[in-house]
Amino acid sequence: MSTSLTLPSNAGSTSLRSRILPLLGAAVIAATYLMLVLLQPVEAAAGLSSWPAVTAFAGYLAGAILLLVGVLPQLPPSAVAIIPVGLALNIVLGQFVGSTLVPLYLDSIGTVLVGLLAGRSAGAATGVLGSLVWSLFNPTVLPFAAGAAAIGYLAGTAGRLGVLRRVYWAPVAGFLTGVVAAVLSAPVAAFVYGGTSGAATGALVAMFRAMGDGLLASITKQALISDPADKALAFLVAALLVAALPRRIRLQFPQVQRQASRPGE
Amino acid sequence: MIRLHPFTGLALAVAAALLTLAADRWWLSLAVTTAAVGLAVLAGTAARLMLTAGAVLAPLWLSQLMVHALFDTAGSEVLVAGGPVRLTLEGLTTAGGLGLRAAAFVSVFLLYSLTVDRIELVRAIDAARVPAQLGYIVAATLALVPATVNRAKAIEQAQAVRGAGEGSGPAGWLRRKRLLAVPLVLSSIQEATERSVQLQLRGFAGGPGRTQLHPVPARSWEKPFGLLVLCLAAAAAVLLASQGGR
Repeated sequence: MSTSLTLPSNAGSTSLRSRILPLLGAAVIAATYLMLVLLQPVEAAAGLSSWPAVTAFAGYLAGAILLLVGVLPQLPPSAVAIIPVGLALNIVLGQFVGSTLVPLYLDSIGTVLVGLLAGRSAGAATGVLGSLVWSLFNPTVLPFAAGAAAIGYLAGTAGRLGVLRRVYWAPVAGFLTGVVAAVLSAPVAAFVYGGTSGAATGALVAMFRAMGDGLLASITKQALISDPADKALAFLVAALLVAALPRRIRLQFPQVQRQASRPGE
Repeated sequence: MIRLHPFTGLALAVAAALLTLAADRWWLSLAVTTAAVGLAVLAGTAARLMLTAGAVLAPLWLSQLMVHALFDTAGSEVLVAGGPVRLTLEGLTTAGGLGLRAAAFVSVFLLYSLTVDRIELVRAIDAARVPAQLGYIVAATLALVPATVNRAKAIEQAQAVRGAGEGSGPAGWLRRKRLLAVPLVLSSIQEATERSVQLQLRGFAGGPGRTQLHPVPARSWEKPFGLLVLCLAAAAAVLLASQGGR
């Protein structure tokens, strides 16, 4: 079926560019992460060297933008229309929690919501676009685009696996997504900023540093405490919000349509 | 002040951020931050820049201070020691350098964000050879953020008028947030689904043959200048980073 009510269907005509660019973007992100972890810089007494900061900033951002350019043309209008809603919710809810004394972020509820409703590509696109647009208000989120894309993609995967039919699985899916997000985002926090964006998360990192851990190890441990809990909560809230939507609206989205057409629904 | 094409300003901001990150020298970070504030004064947005930057940077600086300076175990010149606290000169220097670098990064992007004409930015994205969806999403988000904030306030007021969400403590807070979040999300998604029908009716995203009645003006030198600045910044960043940057 055509996604446009006025133009012929273009199903099956996904260009080579749309197939290759997301894979290339994912490969750049993975290569950046591996490079940062395998060639982990040694901290001198005077601080960190600068190549990891440039690598984390440029590599993650370039990978996320390649992913976005490949994914966007494939999205149906229902997904394109809901992405700005997800982004606005991320910004409104994230700005509220970001600088409080709670070691959580809650800045990805909108991304998870879009992933659950509109699928993996829309979720990944929302993650990247969220970082790009939010950086107009808070530039520090810009290098975290790759982690945000992973959250959206994994939310879409959870939706595809049936999290919306069994809401009690949502926190489990969120927890696992949080582990991935923590591992991916830790090098950015460590090498680009040398710390975290909140006071409470900073206190956790300082505690691990005082216990003798290196910077990347401390931030990864802090992220592994904060992110799984944060994403478990975000997934649960998003799944409950989807469950509260009228069926008529839910069925406008392709991922929910697919779930509804499965036996047992 | 000279009015640049949105992409030229973006190229300058990215180049400045990349160079500051790669060089990692406190005096360069300080110079870039000062230049950004100076340009904001000329543009009449200095107060907003400093307020927004302060709100973004304060928790980050606090975090950097705790991570690098307050509990430093490596530095030799101890300034204050007591219990787990060990404040060293080396730790303070590192935290200060990282804080200045973050300040430069934040101030150049905020300067761009506060001075760019957002409608022109959206039109420039729409005219560029990027998927049409990008222009729509950026435009819709920039319009939706203030609209969502206003809608949230209206919902809060409506709930307060009907006496819902009263109660103190975490349970009362949670109840108030639920009474705010559910109608906010439901109404936003309902609107989005109605908008998607309008997009489909108009054949969005149509194809590459889109034209604009009034394209965003760009001087003939701006595009090559922007590309040159980005290429030079990338080359300098690679060079500086490979030398260690310190």
